Amino acid sequence: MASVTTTKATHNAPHLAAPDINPSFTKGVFLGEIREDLVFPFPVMSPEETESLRMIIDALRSFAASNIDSAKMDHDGKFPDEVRHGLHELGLMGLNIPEEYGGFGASAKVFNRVFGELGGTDPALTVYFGAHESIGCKGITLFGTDKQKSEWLPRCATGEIVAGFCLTEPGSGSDAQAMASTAVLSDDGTHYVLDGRKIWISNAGYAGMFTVFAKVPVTIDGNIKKRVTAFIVDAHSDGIILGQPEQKMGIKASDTRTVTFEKVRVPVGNVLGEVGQGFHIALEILNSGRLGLAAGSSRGARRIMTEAAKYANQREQFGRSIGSFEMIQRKFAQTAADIYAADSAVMLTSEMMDRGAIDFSLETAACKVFASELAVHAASEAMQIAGGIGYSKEFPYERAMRDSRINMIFEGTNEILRALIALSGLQQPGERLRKLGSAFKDPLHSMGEISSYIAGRAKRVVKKPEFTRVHPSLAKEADRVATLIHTLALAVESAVMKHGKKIVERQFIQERMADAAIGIYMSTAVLSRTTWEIERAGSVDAVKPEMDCARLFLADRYRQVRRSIRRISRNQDDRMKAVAERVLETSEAAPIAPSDRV
Amino acid sequence: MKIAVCIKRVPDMDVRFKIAAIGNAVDEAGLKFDMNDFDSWAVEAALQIKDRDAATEVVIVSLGTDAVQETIRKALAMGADRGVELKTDHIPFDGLAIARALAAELKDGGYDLVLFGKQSADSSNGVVGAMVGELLGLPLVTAISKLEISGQKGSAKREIEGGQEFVEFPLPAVLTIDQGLNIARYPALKGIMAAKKKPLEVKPAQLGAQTVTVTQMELPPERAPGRIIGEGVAAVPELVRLLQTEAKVL
Repeated sequence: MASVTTTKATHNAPHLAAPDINPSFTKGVFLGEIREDLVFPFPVMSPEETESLRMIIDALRSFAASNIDSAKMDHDGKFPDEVRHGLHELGLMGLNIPEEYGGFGASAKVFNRVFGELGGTDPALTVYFGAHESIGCKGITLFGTDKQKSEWLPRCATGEIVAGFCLTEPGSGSDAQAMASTAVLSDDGTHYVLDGRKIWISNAGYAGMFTVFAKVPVTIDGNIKKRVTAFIVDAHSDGIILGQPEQKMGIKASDTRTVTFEKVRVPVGNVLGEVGQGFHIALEILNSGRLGLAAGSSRGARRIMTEAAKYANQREQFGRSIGSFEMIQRKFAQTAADIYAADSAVMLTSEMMDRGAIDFSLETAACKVFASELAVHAASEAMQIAGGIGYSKEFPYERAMRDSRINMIFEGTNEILRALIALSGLQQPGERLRKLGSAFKDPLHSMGEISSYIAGRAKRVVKKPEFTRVHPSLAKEADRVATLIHTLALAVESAVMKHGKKIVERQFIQERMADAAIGIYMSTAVLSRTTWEIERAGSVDAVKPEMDCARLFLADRYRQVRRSIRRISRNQDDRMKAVAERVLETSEAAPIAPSDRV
Repeated sequence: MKIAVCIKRVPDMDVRFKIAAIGNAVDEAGLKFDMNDFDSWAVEAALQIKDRDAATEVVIVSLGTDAVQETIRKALAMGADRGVELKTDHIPFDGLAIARALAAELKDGGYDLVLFGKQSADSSNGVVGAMVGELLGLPLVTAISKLEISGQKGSAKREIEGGQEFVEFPLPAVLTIDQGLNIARYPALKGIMAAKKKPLEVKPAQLGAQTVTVTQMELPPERAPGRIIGEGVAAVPELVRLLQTEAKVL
């Protein structure tokens, strides 16, 4: 009954990763392969798309300049209605809703650029739009029937209905399978009765509909099994109780609440996809939704560093601008190189989503991890550059620190995404389907099956791969990335040999594998983009700013990734574990300080 | 009602310009172009009339290279009905040549109103609207900051030095729009989509003879750096002396 098969019609569809079927660049990296056709050539937008995008961005900027006061929204903890309605009128609520259902039908490239622009404008508003269209009603676009689409999407596109996404529960955060919410089919078979409690629900206070995940009891071979299922729920149904807005550290204007469902009647026609397909649906929604967060984070980093650059030019100490000091310049240079990489990877990954028939799930995760950590780091560096005024509420730096921090936590914590990248990378395409069936559809919960497979895997000889489409002026850098891919694959092999089944428990190692894979993907995106930049401009000299950032990033990342890979085998993990366990056992963060021994 | 709005694509003025190698034009590399602000208020004025009377047709006319299509489409995205590009290889300086090309396009169009921005942000001639009025033999009102159209009559307010002027005119008429008349709407996503399907006709511009040309362009001289004369009360006499003799502002 519980069907998790992905049909042929959908696995080719844009915006669906379908990781069971489609090829993945990063999974190839774990095998020591460079699947170059997935990352070259670097994508370009059509002139028509560029023109529309420019008009949208111009309109958004003009609107923001005269209507959006982020400091006030942060202080008040809410959006003025005129701001929401003004942005609804611009049509932003329907940006990625298909044209035939009243939306703009933006490609992932256009969507993520506009979403990034919002991220650079106001992170709380970005969450408003993200919760609505990246995840809130995205499930209907991806998995809804024509009837469901016609019923809900046109009103979502205008903003008449604001959408929310209800997955997280008090006992079910990163471990989504642990959810306790239930939906039981009524005796007459006309509706489900939904009970449960969902927390951290963005847009709850405005919502007209929720995509809700709950377990449906299904009888299989005489046993009752509970299958996660997705529902479209009218937010005005009887039995839905909203909590008070949460008081948060950042993105304060975003409306976040607990949503409790008490015997809420949901018509059977509102099941999204099939009964039992809910977990798959949630993952696919998040696979694509995550990229918007990366785009917003990258733009947020750009904005706050731009602010800091203006300040560093104008602030004088010791008779010169503080920007002329090299400790300050180091901060600008490194963040510039990282933003260059993040922009490149977001664009490249958007193209993977638009092309269809590509598994982009690990790449969107990599972008989200990299860009969210960049945004937090950039906010911190910008605050440091601004010094005392950086700590003042009169300037945007402290707000940037508070607002950016959530991105490392929601839509999959960076830890769970690193585990996802590592564990998915440890699968071998092709074989896994034959040998393991559906176990890999949920790697985090099929650790047993994965281990037995990995333990039995024969050691393969891995040959060093090559990039063939990188511009010759970046040959040395490309060769180094290829070396990293080769050494990562070898390190993965030996780790599997050494740890066998236990590798699924070795998160010290998984984290390094994921960091290596993320660094390799970002570097590949930089190679692809910079090759495009050079070819477009006609010479290396014409793209000096880009080339300098590329070289800086590639050299830096090479060293970091090499270190991560080395530490897969040479590390202090036993000692690290002992220290951590002692801390946890005693609930004492470190050995007693000498001054405490009285 | 049928309204033509003549718009110009101009560079974003908020940048440091460079002069092109030929010496009599701006180097366009790296410049961002958009609809002239005054013209966007003219478009908005036409669209507000259309908002009240849906039977109104708003036609956008722009003279220039194919690049003006983007600017025309922005006006279409705001809500205008169709566009006409009067194609040239560059926008000439000679206002009369431009006015002749526009008048040739407009004269048999059956327009009740022809709207212009008061002037362009880049060349600031402020003559094309008036010249078109003359060439078409229509009543002309310039620099309008308030506009009402009722039937075949219009009334307008003009800001003049030290006061305001209220005028009335019959339709058809040619009007140029000043700041303050309205705030131009943003093109919404729906409008941007719709604009792609609206007609945009390309015709050669009938410029005729161009008698006025730009021979040379120069940037304003660099401002001399400031200097510190001294500190405190002791420096005042020297400051006053320099303001009188050198800066000649006292």
